[in-house]
Amino acid sequence: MRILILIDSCHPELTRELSAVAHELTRDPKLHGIAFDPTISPKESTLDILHTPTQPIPAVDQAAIISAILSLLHTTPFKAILVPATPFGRQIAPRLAMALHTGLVADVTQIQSTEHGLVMIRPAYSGKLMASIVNTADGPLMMSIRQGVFSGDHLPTKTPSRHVLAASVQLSPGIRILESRPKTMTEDIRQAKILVSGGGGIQHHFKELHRLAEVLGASVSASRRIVDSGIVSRKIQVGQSGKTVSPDLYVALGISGSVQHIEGLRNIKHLVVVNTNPNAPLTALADLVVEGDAVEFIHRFTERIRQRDAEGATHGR
Amino acid sequence: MNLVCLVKCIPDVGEITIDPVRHVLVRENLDLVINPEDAQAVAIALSVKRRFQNTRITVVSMGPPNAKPLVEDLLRLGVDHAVFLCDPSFGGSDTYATSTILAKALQSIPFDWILSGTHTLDGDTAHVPAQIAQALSLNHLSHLTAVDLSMAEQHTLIVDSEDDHTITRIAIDAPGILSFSKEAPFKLPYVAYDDLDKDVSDRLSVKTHQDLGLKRTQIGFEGSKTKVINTFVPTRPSKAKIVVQLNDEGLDTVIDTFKTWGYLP
Ligand SMILES: Cc1cc2nc3c(=O)[nH]c(=O)nc-3n(C[C@H](O)[C@H](O)[C@H](O)COP(=O)(O)OP(=O)(O)OC[C@H]3O[C@@H](n4cnc5c(N)ncnc54)[C@H](O)[C@@H]3O)c2cc1C
Repeated sequence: MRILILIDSCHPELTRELSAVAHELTRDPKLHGIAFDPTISPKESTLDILHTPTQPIPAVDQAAIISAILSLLHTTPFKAILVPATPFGRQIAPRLAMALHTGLVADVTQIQSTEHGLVMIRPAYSGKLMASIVNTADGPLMMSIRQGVFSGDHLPTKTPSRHVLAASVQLSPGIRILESRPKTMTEDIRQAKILVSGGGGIQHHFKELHRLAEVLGASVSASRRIVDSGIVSRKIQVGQSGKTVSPDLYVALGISGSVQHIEGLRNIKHLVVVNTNPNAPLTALADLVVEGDAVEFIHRFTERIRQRDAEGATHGR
Repeated sequence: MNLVCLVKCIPDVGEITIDPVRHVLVRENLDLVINPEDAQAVAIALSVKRRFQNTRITVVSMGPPNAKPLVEDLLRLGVDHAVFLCDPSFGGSDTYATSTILAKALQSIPFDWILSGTHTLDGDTAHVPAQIAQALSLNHLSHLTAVDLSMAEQHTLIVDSEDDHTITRIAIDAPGILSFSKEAPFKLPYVAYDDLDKDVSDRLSVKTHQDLGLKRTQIGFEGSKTKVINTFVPTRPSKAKIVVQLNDEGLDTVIDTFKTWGYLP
């Protein structure tokens, strides 16, 4: 079965995850990829064939990208088209689905073969509900795939054969990129591996969090309660009206766990909650709950670590 | 300048709760709100109108009858006209059918720019503006956080599109669809007290599929290309949760656990 994978040139590594989905769809998929930057490296690939246009097409020129894909589909039909659920993929996929008059399911986190055919499962209502969706159209099966959910680590690495699309590229005259610059980030909490996060329960001693952050090598974030009190900048707010974070470890001190706050937590490996109320909503999601005062926890914990390090240093001598 | 804002009224996602016994969404008495990113698009349109007096703003919204008051409030805030697409047979439309309906409605409204949010909080597919762009062969930019009007009278807007790492400044010529993101700093004001009951019915047209000239096979469940066969409440993998008190023994457990997880040497 031939399956087409859209490659986001900002996230070529996701091609492996999408290939894993293709292998769940069918036993022995023939994997084609399409990229819009001809200089893309096929190294570490999981693809059999890599299609590229004759010249680069900027990501914002959706119309030109759609024509390039359609020119490929004209000669080579596919059973399924998989797209990464990145900002780029999520702009191209709907246009393509519309052009092909086929269904599209966004942000798929799971697929299942059932008596209804292939079922695609995605979160809805901010993840409070999961929806099982089927494609009822005759066109190819299309879905965008949530990143970080499927693992393609087990797939063998291949060197795909290159294929240059025959159609010449017509860039849209109505769109011009004037400038592209990296965001200046004063420590982006979204990049942090460990976050210590404070809420209403530590409002008056928020600075103490930095001591804990230091011993854990963590960054500091906050709930909206702290941001609204003007103690910290919105840049470090976690949640629906703040940022979505995915650290390995999230230590929440004095945070109740409102739905809007939880909305900002994605793929957290370990969640630790320090709260005087052992039944605060966030504890329901926690791996480890410390029932007690947040500031006292910081003092006693950092003190223990310091002792431990001092002992370690003496023993080492 | 003719601006069209696409607005979706959604259940207030923050207020949605899950019945702990039946494991279903509690939908009764759920208030509708304007999707926050769409509200931003309207706020931007209103600021454009303040700067260029010859601006005409039309809101297009598809929704259930109880969304109408929210659309009326937009008229009270300075939107010139609203087209409210309300028809039971629109129910069950997926993003393909929804985009077909909206694109059809847009064909009879003059516009230089269509403004919308990038995401909705309820469905969060981000499909509809892009699909309308395809149906109407328009350029489309999303994740926009800023707009510069210095060339607006030459039918060009300069916008900033932001992803996690990059800010791209782009010039786009009319006509086009611009989808703003929640990072954009625009806020919709509240309706002035004196205007709360202002009659705006002469500026609101309600349209059904017949009015738009759409066939039943193009809309609703029949016109959709996907079908939701089931919804369920996600069961979080019930973790073997450790609960400790804040005492020496509890701290031992915390430190050991952090070591096991690899956060402490
Ligand atoms: C549209 C909308 C968007 C929102 N967006 C966000 C968002 O992006 N992010 C966000 O965080 N919130 C957001 N909120 C607000 C959210 O609803 C909550 O009000 C907020 O998250 C509460 O913050 P908190 O848990 O830190 O504070 P509180 O609700 O005040 O909770 C304090 C917690 O600390 C505990 N506590 C008290 N004393 C101590 C102590 N001495 N030691 C330890 N624990 C203690 C309490 O038991 C309680 O659990 C939003 C709300 C709305 C309506």
